[in-house]
Amino acid sequence: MDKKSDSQKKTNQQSISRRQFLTRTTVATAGAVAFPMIVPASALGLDGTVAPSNRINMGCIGVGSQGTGNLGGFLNNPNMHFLAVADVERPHRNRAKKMIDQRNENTDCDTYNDFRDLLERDDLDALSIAVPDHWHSIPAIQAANKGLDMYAEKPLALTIAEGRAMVDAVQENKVVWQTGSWQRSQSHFRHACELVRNGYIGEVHKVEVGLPTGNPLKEPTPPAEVPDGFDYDFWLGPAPWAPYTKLRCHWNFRWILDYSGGQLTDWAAHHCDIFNWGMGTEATGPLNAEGTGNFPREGIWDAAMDYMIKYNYAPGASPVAPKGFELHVSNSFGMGARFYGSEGEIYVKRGKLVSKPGKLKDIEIKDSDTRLYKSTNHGQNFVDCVRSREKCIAPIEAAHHAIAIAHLGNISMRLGRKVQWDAKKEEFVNDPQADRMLKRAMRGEWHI
Amino acid sequence: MRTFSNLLKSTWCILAIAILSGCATTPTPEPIEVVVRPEIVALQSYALGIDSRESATAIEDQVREAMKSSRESKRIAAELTQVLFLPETTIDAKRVICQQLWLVGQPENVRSIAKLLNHTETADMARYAIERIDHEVVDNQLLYYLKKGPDSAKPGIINSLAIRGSESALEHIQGYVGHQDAAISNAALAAVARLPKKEKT
Repeated sequence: MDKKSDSQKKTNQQSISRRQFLTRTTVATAGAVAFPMIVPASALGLDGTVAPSNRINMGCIGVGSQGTGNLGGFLNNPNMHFLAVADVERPHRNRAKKMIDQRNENTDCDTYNDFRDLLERDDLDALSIAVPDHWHSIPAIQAANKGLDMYAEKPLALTIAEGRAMVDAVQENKVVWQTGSWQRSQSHFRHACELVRNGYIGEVHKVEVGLPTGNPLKEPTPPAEVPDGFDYDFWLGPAPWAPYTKLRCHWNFRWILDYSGGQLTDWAAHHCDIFNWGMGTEATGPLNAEGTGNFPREGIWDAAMDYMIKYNYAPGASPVAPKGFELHVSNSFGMGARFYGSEGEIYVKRGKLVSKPGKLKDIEIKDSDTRLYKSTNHGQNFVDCVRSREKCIAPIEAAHHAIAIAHLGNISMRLGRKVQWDAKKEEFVNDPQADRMLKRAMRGEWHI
Repeated sequence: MRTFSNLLKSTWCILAIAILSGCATTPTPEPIEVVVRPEIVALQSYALGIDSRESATAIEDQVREAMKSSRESKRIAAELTQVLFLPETTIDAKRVICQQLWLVGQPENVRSIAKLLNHTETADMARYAIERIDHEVVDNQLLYYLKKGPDSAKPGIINSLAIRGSESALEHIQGYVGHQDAAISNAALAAVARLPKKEKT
């Protein structure tokens, strides 16, 4: 049965106290090894488990396919203890509850239709958030304001302005954030980026990022009855109202510009992120964007299918490109990021790292080189950072700058022309028309 | 109704509109001869998911092309606004039009578009169209319909005023804090926290 918590709002102070408690108990548990035990080892986590008092109390917002996948992985982590889930689809949240209850060996997991009710609880430390893109900013900002740490799915936000608001909320509230751009926690991606960042391919003059082709949809897609147990109006949330069809919701939302940015934003959050990591451009952006795209002419899926977007970066924007460089993002390249340097090339994608010359990829990064953040387990990195209060390997600022690249491309394509970008101000240069596309009015009561 | 639509299609219904300044906040008028092009006329009866979206994509193409010139932007915005209020225009067509007005709408169109704020069914799409137009006429119209419009539209209107950072809105919105409708009260609370406060002189 769904539960609406009537507990008082959690304050940042309470959250910090809980956090301090988690940190202190970590130390205390370690110290306990030296003393005679008067409680069972499992209660202190000395048998390989984690003491109940030292677990991170988690809630889930969004347990569709991605959220359930994430939850399944997290449930194997003894540091995380899930207490509640929120989802606008009853079967989804019931499925998640079953998984959590089985793991906890009880029936205590609470379920909510409205994530705001979950946020009213005073016993959560952190959240796993996996909702459609048009829903990314609102719960994240509200959770940050309540002092909750977050592991949240990519792409960061539906618009550049929403992404900026999320970054500000996370930074102001000093909460820990891990973006689901997990490629950073793969050793070959890190090695590729370290090779580029340390100049092993010389000065970089061009980078190509290859992303998937979009999907068309045949017509018609007539409105259908909303399935029982699905709060469709809540699912639409801040997006413009539209009649229900299953081809609009869940996995398919990403092909519709009201809710997402197509394959371009979905995958830029991975491969443009790797591009930024390798080039050291995680805190800046391009000077301009010029995109051409092929948008579906029929069907409700309206995100670009084919696209080629070219960007220029200023001299010095990257430490390995003193003369500036070009970035090309397209579905016509192989998936992944290909870095072209004066002395070689690096191409990296999932499961593969190749170089020209071929042996370049085998170079061992020296201790004196610039070393990038190391994580071999994206979820565990989040856990470690919740305890240490350090930044995660995929921090929110990096996610914002990665997805801004894709948003600039979509804006350029939709305007049908080149746009000039001021990465510092995060606005277009003397271009009020393009500036309009930095954000969108949210429906009804929803706001950030 | 079909006859009217056909008439529009066959004659291109040439409407000459001189946009006159109605008050001090209305932008400088520029007479524009509004010729409602057939692509926009064809959109009037659009039913999302049932009709081909090609009638909508045709408008997107026209808007994209028009945005290359200031004069053409004004022209197509005037045409879109015109069709918004024709009796045959469906709610789905209005939605498409407002999404295009988000890109190309002009300050001189705002007073017309804002009339949609007076109806629950269309208030959000009107906000979508005008919220990002950088002109005080938007703030004035939002404030006008905050007072005059239905309660259902008020949370959204308050949110738009807050997002716009409308300094003049604060004193009006404060009165909605504690409103019996929780959605209105919550929106007002959030807006008051967000809006810039006037400096005391």
